[in-house]
Amino acid sequence: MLLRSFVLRLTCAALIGASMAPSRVVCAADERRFAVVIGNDLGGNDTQPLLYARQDARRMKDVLLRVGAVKDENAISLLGADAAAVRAALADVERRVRLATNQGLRTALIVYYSGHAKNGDLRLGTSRLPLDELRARVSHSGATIRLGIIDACRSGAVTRSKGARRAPAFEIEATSNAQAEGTVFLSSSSFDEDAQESDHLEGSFFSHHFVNGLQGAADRSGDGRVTLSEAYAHAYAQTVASTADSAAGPQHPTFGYDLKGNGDFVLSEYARRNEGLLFPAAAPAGTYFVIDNQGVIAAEVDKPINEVRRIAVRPGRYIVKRRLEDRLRIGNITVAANQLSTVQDANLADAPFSDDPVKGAARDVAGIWSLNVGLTSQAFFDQPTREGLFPNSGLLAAELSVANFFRRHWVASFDVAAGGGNGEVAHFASAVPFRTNQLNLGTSLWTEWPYFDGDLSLFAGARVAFLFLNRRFEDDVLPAQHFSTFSPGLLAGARYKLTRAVTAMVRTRVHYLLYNVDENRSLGFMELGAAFEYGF
Amino acid sequence: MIKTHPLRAVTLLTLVGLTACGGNYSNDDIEYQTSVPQAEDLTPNIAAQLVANSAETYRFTYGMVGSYRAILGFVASLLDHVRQNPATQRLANGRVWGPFPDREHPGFEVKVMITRGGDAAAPQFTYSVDFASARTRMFVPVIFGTFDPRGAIGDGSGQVTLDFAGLRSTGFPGDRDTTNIMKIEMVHGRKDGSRTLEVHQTNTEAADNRRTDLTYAEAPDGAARTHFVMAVTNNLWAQELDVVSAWRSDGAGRGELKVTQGLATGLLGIDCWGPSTVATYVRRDWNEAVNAGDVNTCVLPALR
Repeated sequence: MLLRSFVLRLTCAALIGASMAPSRVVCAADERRFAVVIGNDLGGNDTQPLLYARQDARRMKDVLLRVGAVKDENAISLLGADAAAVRAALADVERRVRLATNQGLRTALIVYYSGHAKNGDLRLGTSRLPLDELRARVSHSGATIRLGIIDACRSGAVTRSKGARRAPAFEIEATSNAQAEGTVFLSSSSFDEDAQESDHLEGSFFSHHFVNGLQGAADRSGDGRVTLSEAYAHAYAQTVASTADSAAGPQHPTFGYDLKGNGDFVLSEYARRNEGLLFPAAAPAGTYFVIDNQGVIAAEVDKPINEVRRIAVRPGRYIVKRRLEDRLRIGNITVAANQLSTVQDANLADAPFSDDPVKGAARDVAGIWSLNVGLTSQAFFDQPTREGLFPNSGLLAAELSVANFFRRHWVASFDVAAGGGNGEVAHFASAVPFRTNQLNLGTSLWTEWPYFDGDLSLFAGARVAFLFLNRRFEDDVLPAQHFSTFSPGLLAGARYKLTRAVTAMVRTRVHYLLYNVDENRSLGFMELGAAFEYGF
Repeated sequence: MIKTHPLRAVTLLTLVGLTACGGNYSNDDIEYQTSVPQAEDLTPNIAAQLVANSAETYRFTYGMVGSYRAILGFVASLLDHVRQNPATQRLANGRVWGPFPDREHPGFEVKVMITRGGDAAAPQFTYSVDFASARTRMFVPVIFGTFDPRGAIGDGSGQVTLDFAGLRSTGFPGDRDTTNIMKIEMVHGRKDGSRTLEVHQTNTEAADNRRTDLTYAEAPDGAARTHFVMAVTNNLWAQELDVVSAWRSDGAGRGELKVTQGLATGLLGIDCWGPSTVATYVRRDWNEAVNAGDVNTCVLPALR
């Protein structure tokens, strides 16, 4: 197989403008594209769960559908799937590629993987898919262009055997007018490096920068298209820069290719989609951060002086931030469907660094404190107990919690609740009304599972509470009584992010209580609560 | 500088927390606490205070009621201890309070025990208040009785005996009011705001009167009626007196004193009084000189 280099000096636009001999840049619209996007946070017992692999896959699929000329019916998304499902998906896409090829169409296959890799295998939960097998399946898929993107630890192994290079860009020498065909593999890290995730980005560094590049950030030539080499060059530079100061050290993406013919592969035609943000030539030069309503960086744009830049972000509300030496310039902007919104510097306002809208920008992501206040309803399971001893109670509760303190997605909390209820204790043929007052002090530890980009989280954990109850009888016909005890329990619930700082929460707790005044009795009670949480 | 190991602090906090567990939050305790008579179940009430010229029968009734209240208040305070304090010991069918020092009588200890019998539909509670000198700690039952608490809380009926002879056997110091009392037996009941009380007091031979019987009934509005039967010694004319007094809720009432044994048997004295308790009508069969007033001023009819 002939390995060639190609210097990307020519662009599709330039060639079209020159209306010369055959194009040497394969335009996205010229072929049928297929994509298999795989994301799996889990890699088996000997690995720590990843946080954002599935999120990376979602974003990659989204950008390929929006600007990557992949139609929805030709995109297969595998989130949390095992090796068998991946093999089946590859078989299915190979069949579709053959059908398209038989129809005389050029085809492109993009296989993206974000997850664990270890000892030459992709780890898909407890199952394994050898990198060599994946490489062979992609290489022999029959597509004209085969692109494999592996975002995993030590994923450089996938490129190593075929002329792997750890370089800021790959250069392909233009020696033929034939359109390029062959296989390219990109990996997020070298064969001996870890691929790193970022809580600020809520994704891996490499995938974030690659996706950002496809949205337009990588368009060095300014022709409205992002070629494979532009995307790689952008992702390489940004990944190395982003991870240079990390504890794990800088992360170096690698590539390997086996191409015939020449011409670069246009991965994204973001400018054809008249949607996103436009940074006019008059806008000050610098790096602009586009932050979504979750406080996550959706795009980064390096705008040179007196040049126009575009970024094809999804429709939505964003905060645009530019960082100066002594302050920030911040403004809100909305991107409507099929609309290009212009970022005007006049619409940005000065703000101190403490007002940085990026989640976690001003502090370490570990130890995020929040306070929630809400109402809780408490009921004992045993009906006689509920009616005559511990009646249903309403509690006003406050809880101070710290997330990611012990480990990611684990939350520890301390809570206090006060309230009471009304009951009647049977007294032979009559009943004595009473009112209870209750003070609960508790500490909890739970783990969260985020869904929908972290907007929704389910959680479950354990709690120990100290309960103090007091009851007073109507008209003080009897002396007041009190009871106090420790009570262990389990909790579960869901949190939904309403804004960047405010979260709505519903929660249930099931507790055990040893009542030992009259006799030893094992009792259980349940609490249902709703609260609003403010994150500091 | 002294450093405290964190584990020590945690252990200390845990121990403090564990010792804070428990309490007196008990439905069973309520049954026991409401199964002894309340102080007012055992003491008659009187409508109004005495004035300088209160009716003579009212004065007599007021004095008798006052004496009982003084004697029985001692019992009532002990039983109220049960209502106001958690049990010291919880048994399967009983509760024990104490022994605890009798604060009003240093050197003596008190123990209260209540046991539950009968069945769930018709429970019977038996209680006993035992006294002992702190020196010997030989407890003697001094107050004992039974109680049927069925009805609204506070309602119920029962009987109780106060054994003053037994109390004195513990070395308990007597006082002027109780020195000559052998025992007092009471039958009491309360329901829907009305209550009744019978008191039968037996005295020693040294007393002026060997026996006194009191019957008391009180309506929900405060109107009441007392009936004393008093055996008198060393008086040939009147060896037994029967005194009935009744009053309305505003205090106005009527009293009748009748000699039921002795040479003057059958003689009757009548007093009627207004809300101020000043006599409005007086009649004495044995002394016409004191008869005065208008019988039409009597707010209550003849009491027997």
